[in-house]
Amino acid sequence: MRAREACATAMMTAACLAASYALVGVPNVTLMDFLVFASGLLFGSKVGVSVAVLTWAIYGTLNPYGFCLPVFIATSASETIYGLAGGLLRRSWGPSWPEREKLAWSAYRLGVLGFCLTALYDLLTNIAYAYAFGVPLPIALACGAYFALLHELTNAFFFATCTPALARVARLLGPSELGLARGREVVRSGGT
Amino acid sequence: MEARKWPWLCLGLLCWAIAASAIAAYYYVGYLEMREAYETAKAYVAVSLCIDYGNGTVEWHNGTLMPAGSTLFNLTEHVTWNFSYTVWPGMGVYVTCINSVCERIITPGHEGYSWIWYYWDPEAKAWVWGPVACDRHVLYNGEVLAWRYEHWSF
Repeated sequence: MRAREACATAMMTAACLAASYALVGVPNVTLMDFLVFASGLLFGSKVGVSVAVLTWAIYGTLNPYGFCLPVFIATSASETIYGLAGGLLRRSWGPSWPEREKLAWSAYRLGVLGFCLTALYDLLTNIAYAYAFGVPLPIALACGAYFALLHELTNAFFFATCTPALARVARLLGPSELGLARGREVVRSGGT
Repeated sequence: MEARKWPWLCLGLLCWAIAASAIAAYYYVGYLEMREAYETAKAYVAVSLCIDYGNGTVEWHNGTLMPAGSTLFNLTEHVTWNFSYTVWPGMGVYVTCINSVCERIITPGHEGYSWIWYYWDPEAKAWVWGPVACDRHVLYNGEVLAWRYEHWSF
């Protein structure tokens, strides 16, 4: 990991922690997932995954709702899917997607992506919860359905509304690609 | 471009399916909770019992939950801390002491103090003397009953 990536990781981890602790009183509404996704989208999968793991390493251990090892492992591992998805999206959609696509279509795709990623995250964490507390999985899923749906819908909203704006801001700040790419170009041009 | 839209539209439908399933699960859990509460309510009766010690002290046990099919004897045993009785074969239980206040016979067959039970008749708006032994009276929901320590003489 380069110094610039390490710096981005530290910065985004701090942002995730601030957002998580600020919204700790609102169950299952969190900006952390979106910020981890944004880390992957702006700085690549490596940074996205690192932000996810580091954020949960702190937020999972210093959590007002308590600490439970299987749930901690599951949330830490599951949170990385947002970072990975952000990194993959950055590769597959290319840097110019905010201009190429209509805003409504981008918002729809990101909303769907946010919903699906969160559904996967909730499924994995519910499996860990069922295993940790000896609850049958269908009951754990049924009892957590309301909170899962709230989580999925709010994440879909954050992904759909914030990501296009974030991508456009990043495009304005960087000449060719998002985020770190600009820095790499500067380093490259400075080196030659 | 059209072909690339289909996976996203399918994913949108998947989201809809997940959301609909979650809502269904949420209402199913709510239904189960309501059903359990209903079964619990059906399995119990709520009754009120008054214990009048005859010296001005009156004790109320309002809304006491008892399993359906319980008798006044079960209820009295449940709410009192000291309870004595004798069993008359063929007739039922005869209560002699409630909370250490015991039957006192001054002249056998002529005068004394005993525990008598009553039920409240909501239509007549009056207390009615219990027609059977307390272990023969099956409680029903919302019933109001009383034990009264009374002086009697013939």
